[in-house]
Amino acid sequence: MRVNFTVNGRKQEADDVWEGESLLYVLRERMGLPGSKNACEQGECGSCTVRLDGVPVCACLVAAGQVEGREVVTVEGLADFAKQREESCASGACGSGGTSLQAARQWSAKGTDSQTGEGEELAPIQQAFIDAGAVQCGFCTPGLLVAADELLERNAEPSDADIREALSGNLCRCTGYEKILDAVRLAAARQDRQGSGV
Amino acid sequence: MGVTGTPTSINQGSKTKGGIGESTLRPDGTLKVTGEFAYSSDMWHEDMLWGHTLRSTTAHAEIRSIDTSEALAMPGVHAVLTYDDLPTEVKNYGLEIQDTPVLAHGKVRHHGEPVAVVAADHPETARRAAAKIKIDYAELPVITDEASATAPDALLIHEGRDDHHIGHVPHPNIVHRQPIVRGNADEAAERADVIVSGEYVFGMQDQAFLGPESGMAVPGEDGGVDLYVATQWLHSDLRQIAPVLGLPEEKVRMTLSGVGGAFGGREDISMQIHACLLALRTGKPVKMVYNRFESFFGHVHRHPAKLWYEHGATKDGKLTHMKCRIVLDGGAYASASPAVVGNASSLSVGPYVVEDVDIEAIALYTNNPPCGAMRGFGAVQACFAYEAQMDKLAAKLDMDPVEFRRLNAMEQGTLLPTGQPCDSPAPVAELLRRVKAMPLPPEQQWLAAGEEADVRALPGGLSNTTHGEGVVRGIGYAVGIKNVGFSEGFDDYSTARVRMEVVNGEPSRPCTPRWRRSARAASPSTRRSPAPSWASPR
Repeated sequence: MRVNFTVNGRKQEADDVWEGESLLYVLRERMGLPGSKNACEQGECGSCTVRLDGVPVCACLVAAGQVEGREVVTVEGLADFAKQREESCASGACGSGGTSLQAARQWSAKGTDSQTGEGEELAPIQQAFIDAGAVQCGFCTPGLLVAADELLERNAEPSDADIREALSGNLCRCTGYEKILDAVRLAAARQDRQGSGV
Repeated sequence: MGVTGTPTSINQGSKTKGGIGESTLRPDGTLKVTGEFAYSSDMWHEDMLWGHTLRSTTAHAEIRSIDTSEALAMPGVHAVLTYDDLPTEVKNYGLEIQDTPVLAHGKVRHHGEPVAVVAADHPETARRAAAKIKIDYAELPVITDEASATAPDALLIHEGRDDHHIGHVPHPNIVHRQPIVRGNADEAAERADVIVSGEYVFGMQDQAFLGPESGMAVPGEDGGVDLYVATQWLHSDLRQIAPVLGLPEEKVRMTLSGVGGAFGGREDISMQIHACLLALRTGKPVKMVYNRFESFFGHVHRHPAKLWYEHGATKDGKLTHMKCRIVLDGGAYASASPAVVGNASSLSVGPYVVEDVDIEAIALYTNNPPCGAMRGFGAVQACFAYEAQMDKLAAKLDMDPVEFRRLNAMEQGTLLPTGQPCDSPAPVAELLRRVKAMPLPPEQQWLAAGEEADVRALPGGLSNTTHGEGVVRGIGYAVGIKNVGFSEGFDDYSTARVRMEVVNGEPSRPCTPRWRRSARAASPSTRRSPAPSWASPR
């Protein structure tokens, strides 16, 4: 079958999809977007978390056919997604969401250092994960970033209980949870400082 | 041996900017937060096939016949390999003992043992083809514990053993035995006012690293193979892979891909040899990715154990002696079992001063899944047992369990059971004092919290199975000992290359070496296109 959907603001089309394939498989093996991770593939670990029409979901539990005509944001698109959210908030259209056709057309791969990723524009939550030392083996990181970004979008000043609840569906087997909590607190604090103009 | 000095803060700072000891950001951090870091399961090639492993459904059986014809006839299937297809005389591999067949020959020794491998153009095609392979098993009696392993009529898990441990074990179904005797435990026991003994059973555990076993093998034009894989030990892998492929080591070119956790579970071979065999047979790149279910079959686990311990103590709370017998279940293949036995026995006393000890640790060959390296590596099983003993002894002496431990805590200078002096700081008593001084959470929090409480703050509240009312909290203290680096005097070293330059008369730091990007960028074999044109297998 053929599946049409929007990924990170760009229209995509996947052909010859077997009906049993998951959104995760299509993203990783057909779209060249392996950032969402294949860890448990049964909805337990959250490593494949993506936004589906804005809602965080485990891509491994979504059948490819279910995303027909819908919008998906993966970790690869998180920086752009966060940037557009910030811009639309700044222009007073906060919360409208989605990617404009014009923005989608302007999308292009950035010139970065392919060895280190240096020079890449990052979402605040991505930068906070690096700065707080919340990245170890990194396999849980993409899912945690998508989930944490969604938390900060709806709750700018999360309590520790809020953070724990929002991330309770994401497992880290390096057990780096304290640093992960630090990273979300750091991103929230930076967001707050920016918001209040300090 | 020099003493390294007592750390004064948690992070040892560096006085020189950019010098040794400075906290730095991860060099791979940016790639990992953008999803660009190439893990072994992220490899992709437009011409690639998918490999799949058929595993035994029974723990111990003779293989009477294997029929692959129906699987081979399926559209989309490129190769089906069994033992008979192995390319050279060497058919076994292993970390220390070469007892593990690349594919089962004549019999299977544990549930989940690889019997055949399939390459097909879609992972689902490969899975379905594997399901069409017919294997005729004749079940054999299973060996599951020490009694069945050493029974007079016990079948041998491995016949004709010729490894270097066989001369030192009382039975061929015992991989390795490590006794340690120091002082005279029987004599010392006479000084004891109380004696406590107990048997403890420790279950199997799994590393459950998040990134499953995976990788890609790409056949080379020179008859060799390029392997991109997540592993803990490329060099050890290579020594095991090249002989069974019938290739010289220089023709097996290994590249470390992104590793999604390991915790010991990637010390052994998993899909490496199978993917190479399929790639060499089909002439195409072959990707293998275990799913979570298969991953539990794909790597070794923490040894389950039965431990018997006896301790004595005087009424003023001093340990007199310790006797123990630790039986580790190594499963069907040796893996790191000999080293785990060494750790279990040499660390079996725990971080305590005991002059008179009588220790024996063994690992069995059984028909259980193979066990090997996992965080703790033998020290954990022993800790579980000796710490239970400490609590029992304290109770019997009517002493506080932490105070009892402090009275017997080891320190710098203490002799370990092997006679090795501990030459570095080991502030066990101080550690216990600090932990004991930490505040405890309120008792019966769900009652004290009242109606208005945030249920998420209560024990168990986040898992949504309870709001705390069903959670009973017990408080215990335990302490353990683990070697840093390899154990038992293994020649353990590291090397560093340092370059110093003088620029304008000032010492200058040379450029930081660039983090080597893993296989996706390094290899032409992992180019990606956004929408590969690819035919459905059906």
